[in-house]
Amino acid sequence: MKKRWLCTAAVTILMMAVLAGCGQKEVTQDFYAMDTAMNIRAYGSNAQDAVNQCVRYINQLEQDISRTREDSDIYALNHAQGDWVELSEQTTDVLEQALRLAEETEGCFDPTIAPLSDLWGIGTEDARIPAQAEIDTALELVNYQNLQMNGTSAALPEGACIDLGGIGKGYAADQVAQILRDAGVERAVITLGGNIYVLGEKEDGVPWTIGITDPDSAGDYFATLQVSDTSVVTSGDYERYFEQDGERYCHIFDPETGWPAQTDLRSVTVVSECSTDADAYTTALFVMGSERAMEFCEAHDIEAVFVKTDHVVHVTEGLRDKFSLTSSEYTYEE
Amino acid sequence: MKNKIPLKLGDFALFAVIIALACGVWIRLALMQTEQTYGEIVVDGTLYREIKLGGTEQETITLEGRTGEVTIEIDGDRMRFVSSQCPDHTCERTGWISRVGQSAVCLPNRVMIKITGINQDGVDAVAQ
Amino acid sequence: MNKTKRIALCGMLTALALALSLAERMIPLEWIVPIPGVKLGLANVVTMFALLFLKPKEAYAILFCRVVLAALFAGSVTQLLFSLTGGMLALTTTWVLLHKQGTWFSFYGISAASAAMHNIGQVLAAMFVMQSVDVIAYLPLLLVSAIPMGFVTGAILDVMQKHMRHFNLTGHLNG
Repeated sequence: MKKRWLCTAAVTILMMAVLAGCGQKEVTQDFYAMDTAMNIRAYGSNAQDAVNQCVRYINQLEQDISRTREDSDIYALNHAQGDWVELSEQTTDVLEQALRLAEETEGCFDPTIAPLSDLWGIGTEDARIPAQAEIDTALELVNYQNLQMNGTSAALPEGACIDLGGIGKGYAADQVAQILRDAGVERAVITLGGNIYVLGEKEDGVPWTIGITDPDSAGDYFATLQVSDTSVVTSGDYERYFEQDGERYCHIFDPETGWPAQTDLRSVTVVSECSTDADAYTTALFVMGSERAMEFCEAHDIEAVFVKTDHVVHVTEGLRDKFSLTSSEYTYEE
Repeated sequence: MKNKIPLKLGDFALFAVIIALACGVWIRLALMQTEQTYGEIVVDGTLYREIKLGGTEQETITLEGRTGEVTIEIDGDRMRFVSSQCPDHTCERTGWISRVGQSAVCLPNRVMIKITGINQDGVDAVAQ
Repeated sequence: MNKTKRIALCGMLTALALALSLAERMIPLEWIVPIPGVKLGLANVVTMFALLFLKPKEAYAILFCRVVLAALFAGSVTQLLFSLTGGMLALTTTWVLLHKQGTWFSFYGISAASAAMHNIGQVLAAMFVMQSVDVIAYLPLLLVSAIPMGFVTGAILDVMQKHMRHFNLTGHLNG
């Protein structure tokens, strides 16, 4: 008699266990920070706590490096009228990274571009083409070499302005990825306003599939990349722009001319384990134009996807087996 | 003999039929699910509505965002921002979205639309 | 057994079934099988008992009274509809299969089949009430869980039936 009950109980419990244990828990959170929409999708038992920690971190980072918050370090630096300003360790780190990348890209990425972008106002209702004289005046204030740093303090000439929007999201993505890793999260997709960072691989051990935005139709993608444990960042002329007399003026500026970058490129995508680098590189490469950009990638071991104005797509060697075109509007070139 | 569960041959046939039926329904559902996509409307970080896509559904949804009214159109398997009271109108320019992983956002209004579902030929995220 | 006795027995069985169906709501089975309204189906033991020792007509009557009363005590009209469809389908299945009990099938198999039919009936009723096919997503899990549930009720029935021999209730009933 006893045995029968044991057997029944065992069968019951076994069945229940099989039914109950199904997959890893997914946590997904949408939120807004740094003037953009963000989403973190993480998997695992500790995912919810880790994601909450990430959101808190990003809000705190924004408090340090925001240009518009009056209590931020960067606001203080921009309004110090040439005086030295004491910065938090975090702000110092972001500024140092920005300077390093500006130097590396020979100023094609420049964190002091703000006077120019303010003048043009692209992405706001007041977007306009300024007079050349205005552009020339603003240009004098744009030069990353104007930023002086000494330990955790920095100084900026009067009128010059730091805007870390160009690497802020990338920096945040790197830090968030680290927070997730430290919390034991092995799989996650971090989307910070179009900057992607993927952690690990999908459940079945397959790499993540990341779409690259179609410059002709910003809601769609024209190609995909199969990647794991890396960051994918795209910059293009479709993000923020305004049009006048049939000409498109995008939000990425050429620090040389003071005009929106007008090259043979529609968009640049960089794949790198460091999202901060990728963020700055996409801007710089876009400004450089395809020829110089490809040389730069070769010299600095950068993996990138270029979309040219003639719908030709160029992919660097290391990405070719991960890349696939999904739109017939584009042609692929080795 | 007495200690064993006195199962008969027919019992196993019954169990087999039940399990076969369960598997049949499950496989059928799984097949249906891989094709099923959903349109999500997320307002200020929280899910506002989830709409089953793929049918012949035509719907226009108007909701209040941070800076004004936002109108979203559902058309069969795709959705888009039709109009939005916001300064930049980037969301309207994004156009239709229909594939899993695609999204469009109206930043000033904090309204986001995205396509979700079992990922088959869609993407996990889109670099923008 | 005379008519009065039969009616009294039916009443007692109905009361027992009702008590069992109310009692099993306290077992938090949802924690193990994450489906709203998943039940062990203990009241099914009574129904099968009635089929074994009384007439099918009486078994149906007991089932009907139990379901209606259970809905009255703790439930809603929709729940009544779900249980009624499921219960009738299950009872009919049990009735048919009981003809071959002992030769082809044991109580375990019959209980499992009956539980499975109960679940199918419930889901069908739910699809009808909610005007949606989405509920069918619960069916595979419900069907699989019918087997362990069937083992539980089958075991109870098996034990009970052996003990009933000593009481010779059947003799009284048929006499």
